[in-house]
Amino acid sequence: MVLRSIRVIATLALLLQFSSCFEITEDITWNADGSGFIVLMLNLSESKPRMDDYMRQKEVQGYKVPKKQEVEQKLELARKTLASTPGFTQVSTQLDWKNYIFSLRGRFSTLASLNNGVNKVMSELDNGSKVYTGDHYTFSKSQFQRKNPYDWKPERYAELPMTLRYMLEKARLTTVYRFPVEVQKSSNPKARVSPNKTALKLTEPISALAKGSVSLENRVTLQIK
Amino acid sequence: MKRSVQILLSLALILCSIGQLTAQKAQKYLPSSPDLVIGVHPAALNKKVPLEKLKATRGWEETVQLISLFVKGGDSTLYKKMFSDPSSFGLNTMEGMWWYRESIGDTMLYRLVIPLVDKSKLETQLAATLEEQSDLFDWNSSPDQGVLEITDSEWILAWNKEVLLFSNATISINWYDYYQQTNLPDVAVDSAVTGVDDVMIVPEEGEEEMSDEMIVPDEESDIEVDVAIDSEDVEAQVVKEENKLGLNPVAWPLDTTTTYVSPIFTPIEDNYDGTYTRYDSLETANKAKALAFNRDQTTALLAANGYQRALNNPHYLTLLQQTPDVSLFMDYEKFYGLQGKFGPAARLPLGGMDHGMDTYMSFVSSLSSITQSMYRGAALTASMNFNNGEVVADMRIHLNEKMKAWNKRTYKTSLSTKLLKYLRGDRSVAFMGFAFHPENAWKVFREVMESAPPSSKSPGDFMFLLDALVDEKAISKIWSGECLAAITGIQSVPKTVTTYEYDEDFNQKEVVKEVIQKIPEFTLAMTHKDMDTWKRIMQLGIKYDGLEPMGVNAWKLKGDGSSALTDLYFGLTEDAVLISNARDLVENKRNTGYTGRLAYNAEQKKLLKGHNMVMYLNPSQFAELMLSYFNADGSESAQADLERIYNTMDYMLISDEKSKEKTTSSMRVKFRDPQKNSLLQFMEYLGILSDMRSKNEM
Repeated sequence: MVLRSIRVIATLALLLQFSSCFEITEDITWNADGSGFIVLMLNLSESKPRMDDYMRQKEVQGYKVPKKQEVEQKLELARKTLASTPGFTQVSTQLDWKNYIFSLRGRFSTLASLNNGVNKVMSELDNGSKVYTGDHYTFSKSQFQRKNPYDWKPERYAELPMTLRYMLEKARLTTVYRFPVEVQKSSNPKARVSPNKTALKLTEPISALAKGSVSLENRVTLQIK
Repeated sequence: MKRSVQILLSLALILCSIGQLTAQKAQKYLPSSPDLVIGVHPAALNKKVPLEKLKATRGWEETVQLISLFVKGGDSTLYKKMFSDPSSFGLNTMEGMWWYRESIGDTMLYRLVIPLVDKSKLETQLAATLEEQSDLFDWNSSPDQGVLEITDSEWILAWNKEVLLFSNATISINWYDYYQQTNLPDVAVDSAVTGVDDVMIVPEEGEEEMSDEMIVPDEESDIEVDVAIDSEDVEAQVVKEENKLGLNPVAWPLDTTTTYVSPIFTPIEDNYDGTYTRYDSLETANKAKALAFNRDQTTALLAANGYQRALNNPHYLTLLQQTPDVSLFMDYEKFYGLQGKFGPAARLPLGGMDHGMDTYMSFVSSLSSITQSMYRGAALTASMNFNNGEVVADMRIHLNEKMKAWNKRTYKTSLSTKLLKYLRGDRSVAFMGFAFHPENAWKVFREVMESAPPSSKSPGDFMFLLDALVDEKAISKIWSGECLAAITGIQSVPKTVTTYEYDEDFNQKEVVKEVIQKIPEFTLAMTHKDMDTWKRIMQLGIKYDGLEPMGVNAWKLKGDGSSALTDLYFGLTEDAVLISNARDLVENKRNTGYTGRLAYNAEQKKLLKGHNMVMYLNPSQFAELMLSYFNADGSESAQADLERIYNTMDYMLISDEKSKEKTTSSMRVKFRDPQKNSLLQFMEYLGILSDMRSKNEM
């Protein structure tokens, strides 16, 4: 499921098959009133030389390399879906084909609209799948929680092609959350708090996430006066 | 194709573990004219490696699994039991088992012959094993023989008191060829629909008549199939036909009656004016026809206790006298004959790709007849032995006198080692080299083309034109016939990229950084006799803006470095032309070549010397190269797998020697542990590959 989720978030599933050095970033800036700004980014820039080759070749190891137009259609579908979600405004995409960096960004008014928007995008890009229903983020009093609503199974990861598994060991997923107040405590020991104590960053290999040996889950206690 | 070869090899290997019986009995079940026979002789192998050790490997499991897939139908329980404990099935074949392929009319027959010593044991085991799978298998037996059919499989198992046969027959036609044949105005649709009248072997004028052992045309050997094409009628039609099979000369009665059900099909939307539906019906009918053919042929063969006239090719009989672990016999003439057999003289089965290419196809068809004529009477025999530390396969091609003479003129006795210094040897991934006489080769080529049958004029015309354009003496000056091509390692090329990173407060910032792109390093080295001509060629390259000079006798291919996969350099020495993406070679080491630890060592040179063709592959270096190419080389599990490959297999070497007297090839697969049997190491190697495919431990 994690791979499915990742691929959907990235919207560039096919491109991921051909690149190992890539990073997916979930970057959210929260405001005091519960609104905020989210950026989902797929960064393939470290694989740029190889990606240039692949795009020229059009087919690698029997797999069809997606055309620019196909990737752009996927991202446009994600943009439209997010923009149609109640509570979302200023939704846009950025496609940097020179460096292979792609992003989807938008402003949300409430936590509910964020959860709803993320699920809708993932569902739409996964051909209308109904599995994306859980909450990714919750707030309760002074506690923010990043959840993992999916059932990630290591045996599914083991079924992936050998070279894809090798590649995913080098790929990373990063989450960055910025808060209007200081972070007091974080339950995930791998998450790092910034020196100014208002931001939290966690980076994990995608293979480890897919196998379930590490998690993005985190309970963050905020310094609310 | 690769998978088929792997399956066949695996099939041959696993059978090494099965029982004991005299080879002569099984030999009777080999037809007089197969095009391919693989024999397994486990007695010798059993002395080298305890079979129980083989059975304990992951590779063994994989092999049994492959056989199950190969035979299809049911689950693998039967085959696992049979191959794990063959004696409990009455199989006792230590002295040999054989797999062969034979073409009969439009049908290709594949058969595996396993000696059997206890028929009742086999039947008892089958009854016990298949009790719970009665829906997947159907079998019956009499005191003399038995047949087992597998649901949805083209294979049958049949036995008498002497042998167990795995037998398969197929009649295939490519959809595109079918479409083309049935939709071209000059081809009779009816003939193509039945699919049984269009395969005839007609001797070319001047060719020898076919012997009585050869295939009888379909008009004498058909099981007629009434294909239900009437879309209104979806009822099954039961067709009873008298069996008039065109068998090879055998003594059994041929008046058995065949009964089978012709296909039921439901009309579907057809975008090809009914062609698809007809093709679908034909394919189904072909399967039924092949199965009936297979059943009749096999049961008749078993009833007759083998062929009256079994395989007695002298080359094959010579091979039998040796005691290799695995033997192979291929009838070259028959093998090449099959290529031209699948259609009218001017049309080959190219998946319908020959639209509008009649002239070309006529030419290719003529080439096929030339090839067949060149290999008249030729055969290949090979023996493979699993010694400690290495697998050794020795092949010998038995040619006719004309081919021997051509070979002697075309090929140089052996590849010299003077080009080797231009190849970096310390991290060699793969290597290929050959040596021949270009001028003589051209003359031989001309003779071959001119030897086309009188009815096939195209090759002669082509040769006339080509001869007017080509000056063989000039060619031999710029290339004197020796060539080495190698992948000599992995290049790390720095590339600049723009990306994002986080500052200490986790704000994104754009940065420019250098990343390493890994690409294969390759070199092509060719001998020449005329440096001035090459210099003129390079000057032309500069004049037309394709090359730029890099000092004396070195050039670089012009191009935008950012868009090209790699830079390309050309170097010229007194005796060689170098084409490589290794700048250091062309710029600095052109005159001296690689020396010391960078050069090929004495052991490597010894391997490469004395052959007129040689291929070398280092599997662990190759795997590393592939991982690098896909940017997976930093992965921990990839590194661990690489290490396992490195610790198991050393290298693979294929070499050829051609002379007037003989044409031989040799393949050596060297494993790391010189004391351990190579089959055992090979099985372990298969296990590693299997682990790499599915890592359930992760």
